[in-house]
Amino acid sequence: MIKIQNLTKVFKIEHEKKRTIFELLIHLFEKKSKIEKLYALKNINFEINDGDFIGIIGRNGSGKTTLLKIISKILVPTKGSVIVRGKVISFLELGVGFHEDLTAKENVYLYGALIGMTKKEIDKKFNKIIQFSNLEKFVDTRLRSFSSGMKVRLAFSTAIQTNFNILILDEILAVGDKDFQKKCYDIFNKFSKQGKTIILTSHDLDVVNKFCNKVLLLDRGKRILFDKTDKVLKKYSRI
Amino acid sequence: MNKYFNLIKEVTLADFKIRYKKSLLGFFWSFLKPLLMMVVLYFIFAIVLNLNTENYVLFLLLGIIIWNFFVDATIISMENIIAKRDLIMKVYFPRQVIVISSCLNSLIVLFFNLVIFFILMLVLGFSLNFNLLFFLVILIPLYLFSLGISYLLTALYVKYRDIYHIWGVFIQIGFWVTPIIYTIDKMPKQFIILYLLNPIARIIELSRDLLIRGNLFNFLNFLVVFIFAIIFYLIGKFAYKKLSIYFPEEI
Repeated sequence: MIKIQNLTKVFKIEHEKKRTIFELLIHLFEKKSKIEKLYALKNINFEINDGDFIGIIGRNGSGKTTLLKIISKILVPTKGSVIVRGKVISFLELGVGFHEDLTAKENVYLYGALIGMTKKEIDKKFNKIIQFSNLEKFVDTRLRSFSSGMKVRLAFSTAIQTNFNILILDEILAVGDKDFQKKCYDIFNKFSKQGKTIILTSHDLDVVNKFCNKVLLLDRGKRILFDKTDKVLKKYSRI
Repeated sequence: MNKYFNLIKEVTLADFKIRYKKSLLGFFWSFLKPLLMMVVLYFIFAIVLNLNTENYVLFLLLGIIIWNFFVDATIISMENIIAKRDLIMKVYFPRQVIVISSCLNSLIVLFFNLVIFFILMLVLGFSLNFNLLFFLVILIPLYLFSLGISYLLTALYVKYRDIYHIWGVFIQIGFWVTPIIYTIDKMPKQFIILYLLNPIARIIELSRDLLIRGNLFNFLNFLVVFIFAIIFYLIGKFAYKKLSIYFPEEI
């Protein structure tokens, strides 16, 4: 369950950002430098129930990724409250936490640990992970020689093997090939049936239409609409 | 808790592998560095300047090894936070892990360096006795102090990038005001305050007492160092916790 109330996120953009103590001292007696406030999210309210499949849509810069990062606890809200019940796995970018100089196997263990798995869990699920990613032949290959598609497959396959309640996906599946995409969609359906919550952002409205039962439409950090998928998509096509 | 330990273990191991994979001499380099330093400093101070201290080689090497651990831990922590920039911006995990694993990596190097030191001790006719256990206890405040300073520096480094260079200057001065190339009894009385306020200096001298001079374990002295270390550890951890919340935006 996710409950978000009056959520506001402000990014301060300092036009002359003081990156060093030296600069800080020099500018100490000057008038305050101009700080522009960027409202990435303005007064957002919504609630997500267990088992919901939520799509978040909106143009670039509408605050989709910021919202996902706040739900994932990577960013802290400026104002408002965010209550998240259940274990969150977020997949904000391909293969982060992966290291080029380590092998696929080493990377799975590292990434698994980063997203909160114990060694035993990873041991138990390692074969499943490799199977799902279709990378059986490359277990001991260094990631340096992997294509970006292969990295996504490996990271995604690892992420979905954790015992999560909420899965967050940010424009992820644009990279994998058709076969892998289909595999992912199948497993999303399975997760939904298990009562897991999935939140995804996408510019592909067909995907949103096919999977999501509810959609949040954002524009310049404001909530425009949060409702059943067909209603939101209808409205979105008009603006 | 189990997950947390696994995370620290995996990150430490990965850092270790990555660090030595690309270098020509690999892990061997971490042995070579203190030995080279020792040879050069020994040549200058014992042979050129004719500094007469018994067992100078051992005093020197132990000082260098402990000092290098402290310097390495702080520097690697700062470098790792930037190296893991992507990770910080995109994955949520306990941020302390980056600094803890950096310091653990330096600790691994410290242990390997100590093996060399012990071999040298045996070669020079010393025997390893019960004091070795007390010496291992001294490594606890050494680690905690280094971790605390690393937390503090790293938290500031994300915001102010010249901390790295300021710290570089600090380290250079620190090398000379800490009894590494000399022992504390050579220091004029009026400067002894420098020693009293410097936990690393105290740790080096405590270690020399135990391993080289063969003195009894000075519990009072140890307690002072331990309290020092705990205070710095807590301050560092607190600052890091407060500031690391904003790492994804600042870094």
